[in-house]
Amino acid sequence: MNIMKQSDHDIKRLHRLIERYFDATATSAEEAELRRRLTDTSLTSPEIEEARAVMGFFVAGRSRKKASRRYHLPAGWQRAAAAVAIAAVCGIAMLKMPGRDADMADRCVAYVGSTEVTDNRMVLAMMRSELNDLGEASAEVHNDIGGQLSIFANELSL
Amino acid sequence: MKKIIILLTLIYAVTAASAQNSLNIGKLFGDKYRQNENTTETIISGDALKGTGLDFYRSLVINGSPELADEISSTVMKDGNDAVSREVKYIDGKIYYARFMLKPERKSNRYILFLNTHLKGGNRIMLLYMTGKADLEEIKKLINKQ
Repeated sequence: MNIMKQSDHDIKRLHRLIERYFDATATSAEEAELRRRLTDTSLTSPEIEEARAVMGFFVAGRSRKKASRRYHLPAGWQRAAAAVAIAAVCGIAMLKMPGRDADMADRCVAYVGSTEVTDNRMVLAMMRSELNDLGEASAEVHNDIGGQLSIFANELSL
Repeated sequence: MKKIIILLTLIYAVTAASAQNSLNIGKLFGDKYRQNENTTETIISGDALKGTGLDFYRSLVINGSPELADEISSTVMKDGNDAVSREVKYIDGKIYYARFMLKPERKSNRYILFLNTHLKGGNRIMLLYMTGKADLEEIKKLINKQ
């Protein structure tokens, strides 16, 4: 009983850390605790597995299991979904005429290895991280330009 | 029924991504690297990008595999040849960072960004393709404010 309570507590704590991390409100200490707790493979839930995939903590075999875990619609809903898909494609095909703007369907998905991540917060956090890396490189370019122009300015002022 | 849904979805995906696929970088996204466990591909469009000035965002991040940098960067440069605005940094003769603004298509601005951190001791290659109403200054603010 005590072991089960500890495990539930650990999972709740991990969920809280994951939420704070992807809301960008986690402290450095919380982020370090999150990374440490994610290495404990006895703790698992759909949210924990997605966080592991996003943060690079792949667990052998589980990523494939996650990719195959899809929700299957009942047969009636499948027919309805097919009808909607047909109508959507026909509508979009009509819109794809020269001079018309592209019609972008809402999508928010990341493929981390073989794991599909559909949690919007996680996917957008990944986008922010990627843009941050590019921002740092762009800032370097601007600093380089500034430095070179300073050299020219110094030479011209002599 | 499943096959019909898959077929229709494929038809839609082809038409929706037509602007991107007309570029050389189109062949880098999708199946080519997606099955690699060290690869992350992100696709975002529509409401999730609200407030960014973008309507489409697609990225490819490959950890490790520095040997892929030449193929990816040369593909980026092919598309960048016709860019209306460019910012490129080389290190040791190889492209470290590139930002291209391409000619607009369907009233939408298009941007390609590339980064090879292997040239600075890192371990990732990044390729981004973005479209939207955002002009170049807004894109610069977007990537510099993160």
